Amino acid sequence: MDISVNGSQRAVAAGQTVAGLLAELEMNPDVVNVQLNGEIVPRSRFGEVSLKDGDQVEILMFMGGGAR
Amino acid sequence: MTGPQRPEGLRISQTLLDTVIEHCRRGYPDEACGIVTGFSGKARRVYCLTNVAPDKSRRYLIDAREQFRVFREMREAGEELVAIFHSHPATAAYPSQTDVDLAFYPQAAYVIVSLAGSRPDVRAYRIDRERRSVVPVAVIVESESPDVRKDEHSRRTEPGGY
Repeated sequence: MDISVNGSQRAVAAGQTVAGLLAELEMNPDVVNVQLNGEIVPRSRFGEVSLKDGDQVEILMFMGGGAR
Repeated sequence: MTGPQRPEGLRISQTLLDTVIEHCRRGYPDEACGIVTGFSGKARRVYCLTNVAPDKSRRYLIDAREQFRVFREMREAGEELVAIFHSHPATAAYPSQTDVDLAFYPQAAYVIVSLAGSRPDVRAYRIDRERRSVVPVAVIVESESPDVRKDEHSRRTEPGGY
């Protein structure tokens, strides 16, 4: 099935989860935020939320830091 | 043969730079943060965003909803990520270990506004977190021609305001 990731089309296996997609993309789930069709996916649900054909996924790395 | 490419600095108008500094002052004594978008290293918009870090006095984390919104607007406008800024309320304008650990955007200039002195100190860096490399780059304040100023504006994102 085809989904959109950050605006680019990508083919993924049926039933792929958010966590599985991040693993495919070699992205560390601890330092990203994920939006699925405009809604933020809680990090605790990355492993259980399955993707559907036509889904729009946005993935952004954290923007953070600090003085100490 | 040419030498290594000189890292690009940040070109920004005084008006937009003042917007960055004012947002940092408002956040004091906590850290404040935001995003600068534009083209080819030149700032066109400043987004003053919400720091959602648990300990805001020494850490910043840009609110995820706001970050997604900025990236969507940036893509729709055909703009690029130019800089990520945050304040150091009580320390120098130099990246901390944490700043380097979390520098996931090598294409951006990392701007730090130190409020430790009598006047704000604004510095910019290119950070390569894999190599632990921090390279200072120039903050170039450009004059504002009427044509440029017309296109420039700042945006303040209120928490939960969308």
